[in-house]
Amino acid sequence: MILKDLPSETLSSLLKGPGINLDIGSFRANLRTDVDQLAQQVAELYAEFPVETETEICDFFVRIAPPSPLRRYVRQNVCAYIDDLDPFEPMPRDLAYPLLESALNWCVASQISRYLLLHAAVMGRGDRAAIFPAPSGTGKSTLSALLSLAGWRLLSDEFAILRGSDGRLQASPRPISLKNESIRIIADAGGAERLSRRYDGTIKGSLSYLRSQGESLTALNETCLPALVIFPAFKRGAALKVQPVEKSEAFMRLIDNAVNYLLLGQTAFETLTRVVERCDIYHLEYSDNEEAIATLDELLAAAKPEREALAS
Amino acid sequence: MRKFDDPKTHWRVCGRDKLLWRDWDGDMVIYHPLSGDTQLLDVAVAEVLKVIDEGQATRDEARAQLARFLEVDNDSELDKAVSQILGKLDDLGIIEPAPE
Repeated sequence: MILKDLPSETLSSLLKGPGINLDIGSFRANLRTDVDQLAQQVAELYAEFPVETETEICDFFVRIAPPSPLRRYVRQNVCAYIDDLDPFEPMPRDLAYPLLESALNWCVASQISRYLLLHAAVMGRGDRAAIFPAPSGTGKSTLSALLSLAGWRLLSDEFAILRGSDGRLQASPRPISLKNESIRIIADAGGAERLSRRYDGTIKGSLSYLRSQGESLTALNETCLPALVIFPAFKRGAALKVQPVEKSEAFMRLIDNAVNYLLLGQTAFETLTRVVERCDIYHLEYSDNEEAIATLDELLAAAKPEREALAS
Repeated sequence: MRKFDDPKTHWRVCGRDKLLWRDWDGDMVIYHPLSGDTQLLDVAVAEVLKVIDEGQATRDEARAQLARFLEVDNDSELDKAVSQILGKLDDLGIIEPAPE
């Protein structure tokens, strides 16, 4: 069953009671809330995601609710409760959805140790994927969204999820978080119908979320072979520049982007080694989005990740 | 005398597990199981560490191997460089003097 198959009254009732167990690809999250507008926004942005009603086994348990009954009426704030923890500052009720997304990111980053996680977007075509390790502000999410509109499959906008057993990439194609100017860029590029409403006044400015669709969801549980690592840098007015990155340098930069490298130790070293040995690795500086996407199409098509896979 | 200046000191890798190595175009990345640290080493440092990782090595043995590897004179300048390399690896907690 997918979320949009649930009648809105049933969804609202479940969210106020035991919660819904939402399959977000590599993870299953139990969500609960009594904030009606959040229920509507989850229904809209996760409409095509599977929901489980038969199991209580989840990776995360997240509840978005007012900190006290009084706050339903006065200074209407909400908090994110994760198990018994409350790791975020209360937010205005209107920002409940961004708070939920932040809480899910927090859950993945702090509670998952069965995969190697990198701060990176991952976009694929067929069986191959490109990893875009980058901190906030480098245009990573804008690029992911543009690639998604161009027909690439979204595996994840926040984390590269690498399996230690075979070094393949798992998916968790939650909505792409877009900030400020990026919202207009994606709307103008044909994504307006997939964008959520705007959330103004967050610490990151204005936010909007791009709904996942198509192969990103139909292939939710299918893995991809890492074929490209791209360190992207959007630089206004810059000419397109594609420079190969030495594997040793790339390896150390990937460690800098890893969330749980120290925790996983030798497994993480060996998993990242496979990524670096399989992938073609480039620094991509660009200002023209269309030119960057055409270049990425060519680079992914030319990459030969099968070399290492066949050799092993 | 500092321990890495003593030519009689035998050096060994800290911990029982062997280092994990990857060599990409001359640059070495190593994983040290005891500390969980990963280091990017240049060729000279990596060569000295390889000698020590194979068993134990004195400064003189490491210097001789490095001279062969780099095809340079085994002279006082190289000796000074090896001392610095041993000091660096010691500081990183990768090697330690072996008990006599």
